[in-house]
Amino acid sequence: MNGERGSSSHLVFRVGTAHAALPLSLVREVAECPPVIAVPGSHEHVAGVALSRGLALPVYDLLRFAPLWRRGAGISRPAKGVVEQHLIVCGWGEVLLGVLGGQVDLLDGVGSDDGDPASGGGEMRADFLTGLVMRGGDAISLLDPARLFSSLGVPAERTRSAREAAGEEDPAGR
Amino acid sequence: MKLLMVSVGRGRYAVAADALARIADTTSGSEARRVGSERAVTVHGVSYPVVDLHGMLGETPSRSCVYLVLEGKDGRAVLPVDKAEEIHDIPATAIAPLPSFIFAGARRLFRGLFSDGHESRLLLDASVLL
Repeated sequence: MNGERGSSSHLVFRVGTAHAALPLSLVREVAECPPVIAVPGSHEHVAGVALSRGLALPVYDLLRFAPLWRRGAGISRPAKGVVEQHLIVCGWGEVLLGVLGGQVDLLDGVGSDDGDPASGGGEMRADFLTGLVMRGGDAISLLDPARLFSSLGVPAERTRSAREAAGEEDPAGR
Repeated sequence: MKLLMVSVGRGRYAVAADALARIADTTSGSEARRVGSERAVTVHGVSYPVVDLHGMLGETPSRSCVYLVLEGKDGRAVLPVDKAEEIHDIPATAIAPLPSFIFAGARRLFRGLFSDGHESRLLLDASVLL
């Protein structure tokens, strides 16, 4: 948050030919994309996992997540070699996850009443957005993290005791 | 834990060495050969069912596979891989569990992710393969 009443900072990034933004408060790290290991049997929109500080960080490719995009939206990737991919590491409850993005930038002072995502102009579906901001002729879609992450299958925050009660086991056999 | 590094198509994986009963290759003169529909392999005169990991991963097997005879509670099976490399001793604490929520189905072939010192690899879960 930048301290202004009703406004916040966002991290803007490119997804294919579209521009999206996530609240900066969720972003833990932005790094050059490490090797991402594809995991057979994972969801289509999971690009893979990356080793990050001893964790297997799930890495999501929003371009592969079809429900996010308006029908007919131009969600193609720019020409190979043009985009410098970054890994945007976000914290969501107790979960860390990575989102692939390019051309990372900051967007300050976005108000809660900025833009109507249903007004069109963006390539992403309005029900995944909290707003739409125009900057330099580009439409920046402000992603609704709760809607997006739950749709990607990322679990909502749970307490440790709830996880233990659910009997989750360690897949590494520890 | 001791892990055998293997290649299947473009993927780099590992199998727990304690799940291995035997390794056989398909070079001329070896004691391993495919049988009938290729759903079974004979190694040293014993026929084993084949775990088609290439098919599960969407890969095409190379002509000269290495056959890993895996042993588990429910018996033995042969896992063809394209290449079997060295065995590394990897601490269990260095194997990062995969988040369960990334999987589309209940059957998860992998136990975790680790670095072999050069690259990251997925550890295959032999108990799921058998």
